[in-house]
Amino acid sequence: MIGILVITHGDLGKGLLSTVSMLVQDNDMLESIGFFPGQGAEDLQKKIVEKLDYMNSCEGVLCFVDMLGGTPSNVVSEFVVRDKNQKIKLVAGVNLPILIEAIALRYSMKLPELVSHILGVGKNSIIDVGEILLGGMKSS
Amino acid sequence: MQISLIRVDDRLIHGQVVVGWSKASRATRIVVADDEVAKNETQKTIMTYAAPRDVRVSILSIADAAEKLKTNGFPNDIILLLINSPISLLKLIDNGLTVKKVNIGNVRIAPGRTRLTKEVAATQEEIEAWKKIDGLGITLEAVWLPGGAITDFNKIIRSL
Repeated sequence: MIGILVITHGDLGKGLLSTVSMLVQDNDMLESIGFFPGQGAEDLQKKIVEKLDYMNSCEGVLCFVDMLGGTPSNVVSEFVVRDKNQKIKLVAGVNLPILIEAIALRYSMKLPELVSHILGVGKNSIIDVGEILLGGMKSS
Repeated sequence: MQISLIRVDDRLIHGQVVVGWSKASRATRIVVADDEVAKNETQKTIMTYAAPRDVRVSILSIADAAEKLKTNGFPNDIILLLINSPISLLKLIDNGLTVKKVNIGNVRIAPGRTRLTKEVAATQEEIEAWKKIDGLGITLEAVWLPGGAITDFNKIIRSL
């Protein structure tokens, strides 16, 4: 089973996991870390080490961050590079659909497969709903 | 070449810089002046990818940054200069960079560091550096995000 760690500026990660818990009954090895004004990269690094230790029994950890280039992304990147992208993977641009997908499939997929799958899901998760609903009516 | 903004922020290239300061300063190039990061290939790669796609990035030691900036080393660029602490800033100034105004972002709060504003703390050595910088007549403004509240940092340093 793959552990999931969501690291974001502020409470976005905590909020996402709170919403997930309304939709999915699974909070095993599912953690978040928030990063706030006044904190430094070292503070975040320490918290990440703690969570990774906690997830030591998992066959890998999938980290999600809010965006590429923010401090959460930069700090986790260091871990990914050191680990040579084997047991820790990082996906930037977390949203609810990909988080739910990852939580469901992490028991049946290996880490590299899981990441490639959710990248596909992710791209298709951002939708102009009106276009789908009305687009069909236009052509018929 | 124009240095549009000098920002002291210990997170260097990160969220607010990518989303806010890079656009607000109209930068075409981000220069990071930091001895530690300049020697660390991993950190250099991470920071380069962290920057906005349409902005060039140069990660240099303090001495190299001062040299390039003094000698118009990036002739057609508008520059956002990032430094991680007042000690590094002072080193840049000692290496000959002319500085008139500095914007201050996050400098982490931790035990052993005196808290100066909501986001900025300093060790005794950093406070001494700020005092020297203030003494040179440089305007210091603590601002978190573009358009946000500006705190008169000179005033805070003078009160210590």
